[in-house]
Amino acid sequence: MSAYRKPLPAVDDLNRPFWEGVRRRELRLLRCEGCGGYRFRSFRLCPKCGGDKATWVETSGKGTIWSYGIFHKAYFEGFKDEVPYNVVLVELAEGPRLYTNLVGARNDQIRIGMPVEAVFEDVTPEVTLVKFKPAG
Amino acid sequence: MPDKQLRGRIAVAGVGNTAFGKLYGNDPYDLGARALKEALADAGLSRDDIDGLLVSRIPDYQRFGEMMGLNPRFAGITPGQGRMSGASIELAAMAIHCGMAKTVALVYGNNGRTAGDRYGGEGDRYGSGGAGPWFPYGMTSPGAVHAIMFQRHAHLYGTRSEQLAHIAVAFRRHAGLNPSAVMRDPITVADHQASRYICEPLHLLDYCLINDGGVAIVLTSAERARDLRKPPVYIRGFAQATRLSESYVPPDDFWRAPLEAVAGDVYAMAGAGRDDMDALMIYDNFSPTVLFSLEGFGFCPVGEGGRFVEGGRLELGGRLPTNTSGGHLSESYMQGWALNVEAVRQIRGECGARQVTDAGLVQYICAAPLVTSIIYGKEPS
Amino acid sequence: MSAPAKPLPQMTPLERPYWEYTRRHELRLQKCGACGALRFPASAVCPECFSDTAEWARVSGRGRVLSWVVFHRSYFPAFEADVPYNVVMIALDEGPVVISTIVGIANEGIRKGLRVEATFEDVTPEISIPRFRPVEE
Repeated sequence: MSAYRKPLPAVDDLNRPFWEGVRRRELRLLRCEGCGGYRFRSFRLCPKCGGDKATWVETSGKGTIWSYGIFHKAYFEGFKDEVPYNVVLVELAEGPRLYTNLVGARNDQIRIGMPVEAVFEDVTPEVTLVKFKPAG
Repeated sequence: MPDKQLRGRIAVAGVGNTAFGKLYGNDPYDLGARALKEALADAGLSRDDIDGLLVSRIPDYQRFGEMMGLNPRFAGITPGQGRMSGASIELAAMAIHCGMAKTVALVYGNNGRTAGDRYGGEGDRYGSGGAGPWFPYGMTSPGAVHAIMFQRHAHLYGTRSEQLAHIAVAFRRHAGLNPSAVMRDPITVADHQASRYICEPLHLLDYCLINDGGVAIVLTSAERARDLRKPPVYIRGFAQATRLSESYVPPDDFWRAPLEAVAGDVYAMAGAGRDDMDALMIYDNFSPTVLFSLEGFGFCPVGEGGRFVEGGRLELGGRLPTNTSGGHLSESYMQGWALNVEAVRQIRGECGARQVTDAGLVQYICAAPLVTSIIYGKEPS
Repeated sequence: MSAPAKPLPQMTPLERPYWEYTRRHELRLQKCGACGALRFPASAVCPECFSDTAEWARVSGRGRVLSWVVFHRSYFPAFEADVPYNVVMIALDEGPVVISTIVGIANEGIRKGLRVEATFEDVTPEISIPRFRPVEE
């Protein structure tokens, strides 16, 4: 079995709940208790209202493609065999955006505005990544 | 908005740069030191006339000061990001205006090419601005960020890659007239389209060059500059704005909000409008940034940037000569510093074959999460 | 079990000649081609006159202790076995000040003005580190 050679997520105290959620096949975001705004980045204060209370909540996992790029150059050893590979910027239904990969579609099928939904990929025995596939 | 009273009160007294390219055996301190020597000679100043020091991309201002035997009254360092060239010049202008220093040396040294900087991947130190969380997905490099932005611009407005080619072709033509430029052979739109994709939809010829080089600018008060070796190049206006919130992903508006804010302030401070600009120096880390800058500053309507750059409008002899040195795409990527120096040289009439006739006002623009613009003028007002 | 290795010098292009000479057990510093000033540490231009022409000129290796300290804790695991160890500032006869260690004398014997001369310790096949030992006037 070949080792997984792509970079693994850098888990820290702030983002650990996100990655633990992903492990359980949940896309969790922080929801600000002050203004209800969702955020992806685990900042200690809400960037919208400055509130310091937020809760990690499970979200729909649904979104649309805001934009994308196709890498023809491998900046990481582990991606050398995947070139050309896609990176898509997904806008989640709840608002926040995140970079990810689209699976289940060819690169030339990617369209801005395409509805997508989260899928969870166990890349190592310990690590799961959230990616997206065309919805429905 | 910066105080309009500053208009024309600060001037560039000297500029200098090293050769650009693969400069083995030079570290950023060497490159900065050589550039500073050139700038001082250009200004007719000696080391002892410098009482302010700002370095960028040079790792340690203290070590640089030690190396140059400097003990300035105002010293500092800005992060080695391209957006900081304009921001550093603004800081120095403020220092002079409030009397912290009389004459500030701004020094930049970059040995990225021989040091193997790639602006992407695990070892990336510059440019990726917090992209680490996305490495598991293979997402890295500011080039990819701009590719993703351009993809969206194309989707919204129908902008085409062939239109970006016109930018690359124009700047390469200018580089052909610039003895310091690294890439001087002319290219065509077809060459641009045939160049390999890096992060599609951007091609190799949409990306800036990585090179070694040093650049230095000596800034002083207008009064002092008038006594020096070259005619002063006045700073007519400067301004800054940012979009830092949610900047881990591209902004919806291609930085239009901060670009418009800066445009309003810099023209007001300069006492001149965009139609008065004889040439532009637009930060071209990637060709789409030129489009975003032109649209954000109102040179063309939103979404019309692609059409605007076709037909040679940005070329010497065209309506809006831009990046007459060849810019980052063809002269060298000196993170905005050489573009500011080119603005100064245009005003002085030192650009030889690439001189814009009667260049009286030249504007530098950088579109990024931190936007800056500086307008240079032959006259103080 | 071997002790962790002590840090080796950073080999930048500017500093490489210094270490190539120490390997030959020679202490050489940059001497400005324009004004003749000796300088240390290495730099691209002369801090006195900004000229970038310089040659590596041999110095006598002799000097006097300007000041010194004794480390009673180590900041590097590799130096733990050396604690307490000295670090000295030496004013070379030719002018420049260098930082090094004194060997051949107990830490208690170090005093300001102590006459010293360079001696070289071959720490690897490529690197020799200059140290200083007390000598007669």
